[in-house]
Amino acid sequence: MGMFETVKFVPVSTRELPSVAGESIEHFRAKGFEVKEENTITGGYNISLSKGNLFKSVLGMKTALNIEIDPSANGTRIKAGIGIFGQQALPSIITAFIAWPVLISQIWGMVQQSKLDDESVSIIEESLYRHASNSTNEYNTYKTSSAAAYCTECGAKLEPSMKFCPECGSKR
Amino acid sequence: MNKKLFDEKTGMLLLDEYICEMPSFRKITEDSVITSDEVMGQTEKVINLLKRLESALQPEERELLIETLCEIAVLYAVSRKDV
Repeated sequence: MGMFETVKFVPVSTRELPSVAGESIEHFRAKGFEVKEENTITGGYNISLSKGNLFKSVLGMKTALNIEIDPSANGTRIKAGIGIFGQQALPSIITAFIAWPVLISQIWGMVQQSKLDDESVSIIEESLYRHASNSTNEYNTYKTSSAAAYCTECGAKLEPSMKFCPECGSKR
Repeated sequence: MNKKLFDEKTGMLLLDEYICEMPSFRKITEDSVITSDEVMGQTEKVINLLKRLESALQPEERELLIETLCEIAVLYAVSRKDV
């Protein structure tokens, strides 16, 4: 996991991913965010969130919190990180800019201060559980159980005492 | 003439905004083609600016400038993987 992103693996698969994406989009539009969405070739979504006072423009390009919703066979990966509004990858002119490390840390700091990254992941996670294949049981388990942890890289379930994933070795 | 490095309200670094206003940046990006002559020209411009700056600064300020430039280079190098 990179420094300036929040990643969570949710052990829920759903065919209703368009509804999941739609609900999160509506949530943030209602809060005054500018939102853009794009389908991915893997059947997921890229959602860009931006708001003037939170996201500075860099070299004339509007920055945003870019959220990837990436489905797989055993669950869904949610990743929220700083990017350019409406663009999946950072343009090379941005990554080559010598002051970009300073700016990305400042922008990420403001995102974390406003808890926007946590909020975006939570909204999508809740929506995934509501739309899960076994929706009633999965959603009730999610709401009542202590937070089960899953490896953000491979999705393996992690016991509380584990510091490393037993499947892929990634640090928790 | 009274440019600041950081926005007084938000604390955000402002360098990128100044860069967008510079004729050298606009010239290089307007056609998305960067020629070797443009690179050489920009290199000479930077060298001349650094020499002017060096001669305009007191010894302590020169030390601070050198330290700042070096630390920026280190930050850029170590963060390449993540950004």
